[in-house]
Amino acid sequence: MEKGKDSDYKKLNGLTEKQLEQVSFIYGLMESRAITPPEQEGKEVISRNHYTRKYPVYEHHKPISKIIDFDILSYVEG
Amino acid sequence: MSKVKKEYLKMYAACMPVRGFARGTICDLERNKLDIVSNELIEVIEECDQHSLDDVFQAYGDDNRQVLQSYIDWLLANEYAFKTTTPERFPKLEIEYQRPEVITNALIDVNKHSNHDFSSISKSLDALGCKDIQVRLFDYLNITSLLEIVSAFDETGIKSVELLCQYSDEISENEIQRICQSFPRVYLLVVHSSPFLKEIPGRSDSLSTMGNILYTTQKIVSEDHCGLIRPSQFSINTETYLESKNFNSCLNQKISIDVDGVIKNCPSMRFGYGSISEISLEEVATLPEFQRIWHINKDQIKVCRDCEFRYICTDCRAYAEGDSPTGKPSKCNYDPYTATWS
Repeated sequence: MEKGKDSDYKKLNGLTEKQLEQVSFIYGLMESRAITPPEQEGKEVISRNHYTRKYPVYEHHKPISKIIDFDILSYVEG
Repeated sequence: MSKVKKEYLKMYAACMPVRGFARGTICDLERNKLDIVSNELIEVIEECDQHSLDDVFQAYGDDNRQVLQSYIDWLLANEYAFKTTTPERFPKLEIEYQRPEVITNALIDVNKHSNHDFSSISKSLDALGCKDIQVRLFDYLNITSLLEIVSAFDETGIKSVELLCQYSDEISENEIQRICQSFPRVYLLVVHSSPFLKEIPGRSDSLSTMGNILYTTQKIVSEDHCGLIRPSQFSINTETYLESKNFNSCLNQKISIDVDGVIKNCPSMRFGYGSISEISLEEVATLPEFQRIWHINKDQIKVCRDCEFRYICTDCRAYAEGDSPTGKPSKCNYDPYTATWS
Protein backbone atom coordinates (compact mmCIF):
# COMPACT_ATOMS: atom_id res chain seq x y z
CA MET A 1 0.00 0.00 0.00
CA GLU A 2 1.34 3.40 -0.86
CA LYS A 3 1.40 5.27 2.42
CA GLY A 4 -0.98 8.20 2.73
CA LYS A 5 -2.52 7.83 -0.70
CA ASP A 6 -4.54 4.63 -0.57
CA SER A 7 -8.26 5.15 -0.05
CA ASP A 8 -8.50 2.21 2.43
CA TYR A 9 -5.83 3.86 4.49
CA LYS A 10 -8.05 6.92 4.80
CA LYS A 11 -11.08 4.87 5.75
CA LEU A 12 -9.27 2.80 8.36
CA ASN A 13 -7.91 5.82 10.14
CA GLY A 14 -10.94 8.05 9.73
CA LEU A 15 -8.76 11.01 8.88
CA THR A 16 -9.87 14.15 7.15
CA GLU A 17 -8.07 15.19 3.97
CA LYS A 18 -6.19 17.88 5.91
CA GLN A 19 -5.15 15.46 8.67
CA LEU A 20 -4.08 12.95 6.08
CA GLU A 21 -1.97 15.55 4.33
CA GLN A 22 -0.24 16.32 7.63
CA VAL A 23 0.35 12.67 8.49
CA SER A 24 1.71 11.77 5.08
CA PHE A 25 3.96 14.79 5.10
CA ILE A 26 5.43 13.93 8.50
CA TYR A 27 5.68 10.27 7.54
CA GLY A 28 7.51 11.28 4.39
CA LEU A 29 10.01 13.33 6.36
CA MET A 30 10.56 10.54 8.85
CA GLU A 31 11.29 8.17 6.01
CA SER A 32 13.65 10.62 4.38
CA ARG A 33 15.91 10.54 7.44
CA ALA A 34 16.97 6.95 7.82
CA ILE A 35 18.77 5.85 10.97
CA THR A 36 21.72 4.86 8.83
CA PRO A 37 23.50 8.05 7.73
CA PRO A 38 23.95 8.67 4.00
CA GLU A 39 27.66 7.94 4.14
CA GLN A 40 26.90 4.49 5.57
CA GLU A 41 24.53 3.48 2.76
CA GLY A 42 25.35 0.08 1.39
CA LYS A 43 27.19 -0.83 4.56
CA GLU A 44 25.86 -2.91 7.42
CA VAL A 45 23.29 -1.11 9.56
CA ILE A 46 24.88 -0.34 12.91
CA SER A 47 22.63 0.20 15.89
CA ARG A 48 22.79 1.97 19.25
CA ASN A 49 26.23 3.00 20.45
CA HIS A 50 28.00 0.96 17.87
CA TYR A 51 28.26 3.55 15.15
CA THR A 52 31.47 5.27 16.11
CA ARG A 53 33.18 2.35 17.75
CA LYS A 54 35.15 -0.58 16.55
CA TYR A 55 33.01 -2.74 18.79
CA PRO A 56 30.38 -1.80 21.36
CA VAL A 57 31.60 -0.62 24.72
CA TYR A 58 28.47 -0.73 26.81
CA GLU A 59 25.13 -2.46 26.68
CA HIS A 60 23.77 0.04 29.19
CA HIS A 61 23.03 3.38 27.56
CA LYS A 62 26.10 4.87 29.30
CA PRO A 63 29.19 3.45 31.01
CA ILE A 64 28.31 2.02 34.43
CA SER A 65 31.73 3.05 35.72
CA LYS A 66 34.60 4.91 34.13
CA ILE A 67 37.43 2.63 35.19
CA ILE A 68 38.38 1.10 31.85
CA ASP A 69 40.52 3.35 29.70
CA PHE A 70 39.13 2.63 26.26
CA ASP A 71 41.54 5.13 24.71
CA ILE A 72 44.00 2.28 24.36
CA LEU A 73 41.73 0.80 21.71
CA SER A 74 41.44 1.92 18.13
CA TYR A 75 38.23 3.45 16.88
CA VAL A 76 36.55 3.66 13.56
CA GLU A 77 35.96 7.23 12.49
CA GLY A 78 32.27 8.09 12.65
CA MET B 1 -3.83 34.62 -5.86
CA SER B 2 -2.75 32.32 -3.03
CA LYS B 3 -0.39 33.66 -0.40
CA VAL B 4 3.14 32.23 -0.55
CA LYS B 5 3.95 30.49 2.72
CA LYS B 6 7.15 31.39 4.51
CA GLU B 7 9.88 28.78 4.58
CA TYR B 8 11.56 27.76 7.83
CA LEU B 9 14.66 25.76 8.63
CA LYS B 10 13.82 23.18 11.27
CA MET B 11 16.21 20.89 13.12
CA TYR B 12 15.30 17.20 13.22
CA ALA B 13 13.99 16.47 16.71
CA ALA B 14 16.87 14.09 17.50
CA CYS B 15 19.57 16.62 16.56
CA MET B 16 20.45 18.73 19.55
CA PRO B 17 22.52 21.90 19.29
CA VAL B 18 24.49 22.44 22.51
CA ARG B 19 26.19 25.75 23.17
CA GLY B 20 29.49 25.70 25.05
CA PHE B 21 31.73 28.53 26.18
CA ALA B 22 34.19 28.48 23.28
CA ARG B 23 32.32 26.34 20.76
CA GLY B 24 29.25 24.16 20.42
CA THR B 25 28.21 20.69 19.34
CA ILE B 26 25.34 19.13 17.48
CA CYS B 27 24.49 15.80 19.09
CA ASP B 28 22.72 13.45 16.73
CA LEU B 29 20.92 11.18 19.18
CA GLU B 30 19.45 9.05 16.43
CA ARG B 31 22.71 8.28 14.65
CA ASN B 32 24.87 8.33 17.79
CA LYS B 33 27.37 10.85 16.53
CA LEU B 34 28.29 14.43 17.15
CA ASP B 35 29.83 17.30 15.24
CA ILE B 36 31.77 20.12 16.80
CA VAL B 37 30.51 23.45 15.49
CA SER B 38 30.99 27.14 16.18
CA ASN B 39 28.70 28.96 18.58
CA GLU B 40 27.89 31.19 15.62
CA LEU B 41 26.23 28.24 13.93
CA ILE B 42 24.30 27.45 17.12
CA GLU B 43 23.08 31.06 17.07
CA VAL B 44 21.90 30.63 13.47
CA ILE B 45 20.00 27.48 14.48
CA GLU B 46 18.34 29.37 17.34
CA GLU B 47 17.38 32.25 15.02
CA CYS B 48 15.98 29.85 12.44
CA ASP B 49 13.93 28.18 15.16
CA GLN B 50 12.14 31.47 15.81
CA HIS B 51 12.01 33.15 12.41
CA SER B 52 11.48 32.30 8.75
CA LEU B 53 14.50 31.93 6.50
CA ASP B 54 13.70 35.18 4.70
CA ASP B 55 13.56 37.03 8.00
CA VAL B 56 16.82 35.48 9.19
CA PHE B 57 18.61 36.44 5.97
CA GLN B 58 17.25 39.95 6.27
CA ALA B 59 18.33 40.25 9.91
CA TYR B 60 21.89 39.14 9.15
CA GLY B 61 22.14 41.50 6.15
CA ASP B 62 23.85 41.17 2.78
CA ASP B 63 27.36 41.14 4.28
CA ASN B 64 26.68 37.84 6.03
CA ARG B 65 24.51 36.23 3.34
CA GLN B 66 27.24 33.96 1.96
CA VAL B 67 28.33 32.65 5.37
CA LEU B 68 24.74 32.20 6.50
CA GLN B 69 23.93 30.28 3.32
CA SER B 70 26.96 28.01 3.85
CA TYR B 71 25.78 27.22 7.41
CA ILE B 72 22.30 26.35 6.16
CA ASP B 73 23.67 24.25 3.32
CA TRP B 74 25.87 22.36 5.77
CA LEU B 75 22.93 21.62 8.11
CA LEU B 76 20.87 20.37 5.17
CA ALA B 77 23.67 18.31 3.64
CA ASN B 78 24.35 16.57 6.95
CA GLU B 79 20.66 15.95 7.48
CA TYR B 80 20.57 17.86 10.74
CA ALA B 81 17.80 20.13 9.44
CA PHE B 82 15.15 20.36 6.76
CA LYS B 83 13.08 23.12 5.19
CA THR B 84 9.36 23.38 5.83
CA THR B 85 6.50 25.84 5.50
CA THR B 86 4.70 24.24 8.47
CA PRO B 87 7.18 24.27 11.38
CA GLU B 88 4.35 23.92 13.90
CA ARG B 89 3.88 20.33 12.76
CA PHE B 90 7.28 19.32 14.09
CA PRO B 91 7.34 19.59 17.87
CA LYS B 92 10.61 19.36 19.77
CA LEU B 93 11.63 16.27 21.69
CA GLU B 94 10.19 16.16 25.21
CA ILE B 95 13.07 16.66 27.65
CA GLU B 96 11.47 14.66 30.47
CA TYR B 97 13.22 11.52 31.69
CA GLN B 98 11.30 8.85 33.53
CA ARG B 99 12.06 5.20 34.14
CA PRO B 100 9.79 2.62 35.77
CA GLU B 101 12.68 1.01 37.67
CA VAL B 102 13.93 2.24 41.06
CA ILE B 103 17.49 1.25 40.11
CA THR B 104 18.69 0.89 36.52
CA ASN B 105 22.36 0.01 37.06
CA ALA B 106 24.57 -1.35 39.80
CA LEU B 107 28.25 -1.53 40.56
CA ILE B 108 29.71 -4.24 42.77
CA ASP B 109 33.36 -4.22 43.83
CA VAL B 110 35.16 -7.33 45.00
CA ASN B 111 38.63 -8.04 46.36
CA LYS B 112 40.15 -11.09 48.01
CA HIS B 113 38.68 -10.08 51.40
CA SER B 114 35.11 -9.51 50.13
CA ASN B 115 32.38 -11.82 51.27
CA HIS B 116 29.38 -10.78 49.16
CA ASP B 117 26.34 -13.04 48.91
CA PHE B 118 25.76 -12.69 45.17
CA SER B 119 22.61 -14.78 45.23
CA SER B 120 20.95 -12.39 47.68
CA ILE B 121 22.34 -9.30 45.90
CA SER B 122 20.99 -10.56 42.60
CA LYS B 123 17.49 -11.07 44.05
CA SER B 124 17.46 -7.57 45.56
CA LEU B 125 18.66 -5.93 42.35
CA ASP B 126 16.07 -7.83 40.37
CA ALA B 127 13.34 -6.63 42.77
CA LEU B 128 14.51 -3.04 42.25
CA GLY B 129 14.22 -3.47 38.48
CA CYS B 130 17.96 -3.23 37.85
CA LYS B 131 18.88 -4.06 34.26
CA ASP B 132 22.64 -3.60 33.94
CA ILE B 133 25.39 -4.60 36.36
CA GLN B 134 29.14 -4.25 36.49
CA VAL B 135 31.19 -6.44 38.83
CA ARG B 136 34.80 -5.33 39.31
CA LEU B 137 37.21 -7.89 40.71
CA PHE B 138 40.40 -6.18 41.87
CA ASP B 139 42.22 -9.37 42.92
CA TYR B 140 42.63 -12.73 41.28
CA LEU B 141 39.68 -15.09 41.71
CA ASN B 142 39.70 -18.64 40.34
CA ILE B 143 37.39 -19.82 37.59
CA THR B 144 34.96 -21.46 40.04
CA SER B 145 34.44 -18.14 41.85
CA LEU B 146 33.94 -16.30 38.55
CA LEU B 147 31.32 -18.80 37.47
CA GLU B 148 29.54 -18.54 40.83
CA ILE B 149 29.32 -14.74 40.50
CA VAL B 150 28.02 -14.76 36.94
CA SER B 151 25.56 -17.59 37.50
CA ALA B 152 23.93 -15.65 40.38
CA PHE B 153 22.33 -13.37 37.77
CA ASP B 154 20.68 -16.23 35.87
CA GLU B 155 16.89 -16.37 35.89
CA THR B 156 16.50 -12.69 36.72
CA GLY B 157 15.32 -9.67 34.78
CA ILE B 158 18.90 -8.43 34.63
CA LYS B 159 19.78 -7.71 31.02
CA SER B 160 23.54 -7.39 31.00
CA VAL B 161 26.52 -8.15 33.22
CA GLU B 162 29.95 -6.62 32.75
CA LEU B 163 32.72 -8.44 34.56
CA LEU B 164 36.22 -7.12 35.21
CA CYS B 165 38.66 -9.74 36.44
CA GLN B 166 42.39 -9.90 36.96
CA TYR B 167 44.57 -11.73 34.48
CA SER B 168 46.12 -15.00 35.57
CA ASP B 169 47.95 -17.79 33.74
CA GLU B 170 45.63 -20.15 35.58
CA ILE B 171 42.60 -19.04 33.54
CA SER B 172 43.00 -19.74 29.86
CA GLU B 173 41.49 -17.72 27.03
CA ASN B 174 39.24 -20.71 26.27
CA GLU B 175 37.87 -20.65 29.80
CA ILE B 176 37.21 -16.91 29.54
CA GLN B 177 35.38 -17.48 26.26
CA ARG B 178 33.41 -20.30 27.82
CA ILE B 179 32.06 -17.92 30.50
CA CYS B 180 30.64 -15.68 27.77
CA GLN B 181 29.24 -18.65 25.86
CA SER B 182 27.62 -20.23 28.92
CA PHE B 183 26.14 -17.03 30.32
CA PRO B 184 24.37 -14.97 27.64
CA ARG B 185 23.90 -12.03 30.02
CA VAL B 186 27.64 -11.35 29.98
CA TYR B 187 28.03 -8.34 27.77
CA LEU B 188 31.66 -7.48 28.37
CA LEU B 189 34.40 -9.39 30.13
CA VAL B 190 37.48 -7.30 30.79
CA VAL B 191 40.65 -9.09 31.82
CA HIS B 192 42.79 -6.39 33.37
CA SER B 193 46.49 -6.41 34.35
CA SER B 194 47.08 -8.59 31.30
CA PRO B 195 50.57 -8.80 29.74
CA PHE B 196 48.97 -8.22 26.32
CA LEU B 197 46.16 -6.24 24.67
CA LYS B 198 43.53 -8.23 22.84
CA GLU B 199 39.93 -7.75 21.76
CA ILE B 200 37.63 -10.67 21.05
CA PRO B 201 34.33 -9.37 19.64
CA GLY B 202 31.23 -11.16 20.85
CA ARG B 203 28.34 -12.75 19.05
CA SER B 204 25.77 -10.52 17.36
CA ASP B 205 22.04 -10.82 17.42
CA SER B 206 19.47 -8.39 16.09
CA LEU B 207 19.64 -6.04 19.08
CA SER B 208 23.16 -5.99 20.41
CA THR B 209 26.48 -7.75 20.56
CA MET B 210 27.00 -9.78 23.72
CA GLY B 211 29.98 -11.66 25.04
CA ASN B 212 32.73 -9.18 24.14
CA ILE B 213 36.13 -9.88 25.68
CA LEU B 214 38.89 -7.36 26.22
CA TYR B 215 42.34 -8.13 27.58
CA THR B 216 43.91 -4.90 28.73
CA THR B 217 47.31 -4.08 30.15
CA GLN B 218 45.66 -1.47 32.37
CA LYS B 219 46.04 -2.37 36.04
CA ILE B 220 42.77 -2.00 37.94
CA VAL B 221 43.49 -2.80 41.57
CA SER B 222 41.04 -0.54 43.39
CA GLU B 223 38.12 1.83 42.92
CA ASP B 224 40.63 4.71 42.88
CA HIS B 225 41.16 4.01 39.17
CA CYS B 226 37.59 5.08 38.38
CA GLY B 227 36.29 8.49 37.30
CA LEU B 228 38.10 8.85 33.97
CA ILE B 229 36.53 11.48 31.74
CA ARG B 230 37.52 10.73 28.15
CA PRO B 231 35.86 11.16 24.75
CA SER B 232 35.83 7.36 24.53
CA GLN B 233 33.45 7.35 27.51
CA PHE B 234 31.00 9.75 25.84
CA SER B 235 27.59 8.31 25.24
CA ILE B 236 25.64 9.90 22.41
CA ASN B 237 22.11 8.62 22.60
CA THR B 238 18.65 9.87 23.54
CA GLU B 239 18.56 8.16 26.93
CA THR B 240 21.86 9.59 28.15
CA TYR B 241 21.04 13.04 26.78
CA LEU B 242 17.66 13.18 28.50
CA GLU B 243 19.00 11.70 31.73
CA SER B 244 21.84 14.27 31.76
CA LYS B 245 19.38 17.11 31.25
CA ASN B 246 17.35 16.03 34.28
CA PHE B 247 19.60 14.03 36.57
CA ASN B 248 23.19 13.19 37.39
CA SER B 249 24.48 11.20 34.47
CA CYS B 250 26.67 8.94 36.57
CA LEU B 251 24.77 8.30 39.78
CA ASN B 252 21.11 8.56 38.84
CA GLN B 253 19.37 5.28 39.70
CA LYS B 254 22.72 3.63 40.44
CA ILE B 255 23.48 1.59 43.57
CA SER B 256 26.90 0.29 44.56
CA ILE B 257 28.46 -2.14 46.98
CA ASP B 258 32.10 -1.57 47.86
CA VAL B 259 34.70 -4.25 48.61
CA ASP B 260 33.73 -4.22 52.30
CA GLY B 261 30.03 -4.73 51.58
CA VAL B 262 29.03 -1.14 52.30
CA ILE B 263 26.14 0.18 50.21
CA LYS B 264 26.97 3.51 48.55
CA ASN B 265 26.03 5.73 45.65
CA CYS B 266 29.49 4.98 44.24
CA PRO B 267 32.24 2.74 45.70
CA SER B 268 34.71 5.63 45.45
CA MET B 269 32.64 7.82 47.75
CA ARG B 270 33.44 7.99 51.44
CA PHE B 271 29.87 8.03 52.69
CA GLY B 272 28.01 4.72 53.00
CA TYR B 273 24.48 3.76 54.06
CA GLY B 274 25.39 0.62 56.01
CA SER B 275 26.63 -2.87 55.41
CA ILE B 276 24.65 -5.14 53.15
CA SER B 277 24.58 -7.64 56.01
CA GLU B 278 22.61 -5.12 58.09
CA ILE B 279 20.44 -3.17 55.64
CA SER B 280 18.96 -4.26 52.32
CA LEU B 281 19.56 -2.70 48.92
CA GLU B 282 15.80 -2.12 48.67
CA GLU B 283 15.78 -0.07 51.88
CA VAL B 284 18.76 2.08 50.88
CA ALA B 285 17.56 2.65 47.31
CA THR B 286 14.39 4.39 48.46
CA LEU B 287 16.01 6.65 51.09
CA PRO B 288 15.59 10.36 50.18
CA GLU B 289 19.20 11.08 51.24
CA PHE B 290 20.45 8.29 48.97
CA GLN B 291 18.55 9.77 46.02
CA ARG B 292 19.54 13.39 46.70
CA ILE B 293 22.70 13.24 44.59
CA TRP B 294 20.73 11.88 41.64
CA HIS B 295 19.39 15.41 41.07
CA ILE B 296 22.74 17.17 40.48
CA ASN B 297 22.68 17.59 36.73
CA LYS B 298 25.41 18.90 34.44
CA ASP B 299 23.90 22.39 34.29
CA GLN B 300 24.60 22.72 38.04
CA ILE B 301 28.22 21.55 37.98
CA LYS B 302 30.97 24.14 37.87
CA VAL B 303 32.88 24.32 34.56
CA CYS B 304 30.80 21.44 33.14
CA ARG B 305 27.88 23.84 32.73
CA ASP B 306 29.99 25.71 30.15
CA CYS B 307 31.11 22.57 28.32
CA GLU B 308 29.74 21.63 24.92
CA PHE B 309 29.97 17.91 25.80
CA ARG B 310 27.94 18.18 29.01
CA TYR B 311 24.93 16.11 27.93
CA ILE B 312 26.88 13.19 26.50
CA CYS B 313 29.58 13.03 29.18
CA THR B 314 28.76 10.80 32.12
CA ASP B 315 30.29 12.86 34.93
CA CYS B 316 31.92 11.75 38.18
CA ARG B 317 30.83 12.95 41.63
CA ALA B 318 33.32 10.90 43.65
CA TYR B 319 36.43 12.73 42.45
CA ALA B 320 35.37 16.36 42.17
CA GLU B 321 37.39 19.57 42.45
CA GLY B 322 37.26 21.19 45.88
CA ASP B 323 35.54 18.09 47.24
CA SER B 324 32.34 19.92 46.37
CA PRO B 325 29.12 18.16 45.34
CA THR B 326 29.00 20.51 42.35
CA GLY B 327 32.75 20.61 41.58
CA LYS B 328 34.18 19.76 38.16
CA PRO B 329 35.29 16.09 37.87
CA SER B 330 38.94 16.22 38.89
CA LYS B 331 39.95 13.51 36.42
CA CYS B 332 38.58 15.51 33.48
CA ASN B 333 41.36 17.22 31.58
CA TYR B 334 39.16 19.16 29.18
CA ASP B 335 39.02 22.94 29.42
CA PRO B 336 35.83 24.24 27.79
CA TYR B 337 37.10 27.84 27.99
CA THR B 338 39.99 27.11 25.62
CA ALA B 339 38.43 24.01 24.01
CA THR B 340 41.56 21.95 24.66
CA TRP B 341 42.35 18.55 26.20
CA SER B 342 45.53 18.67 28.27
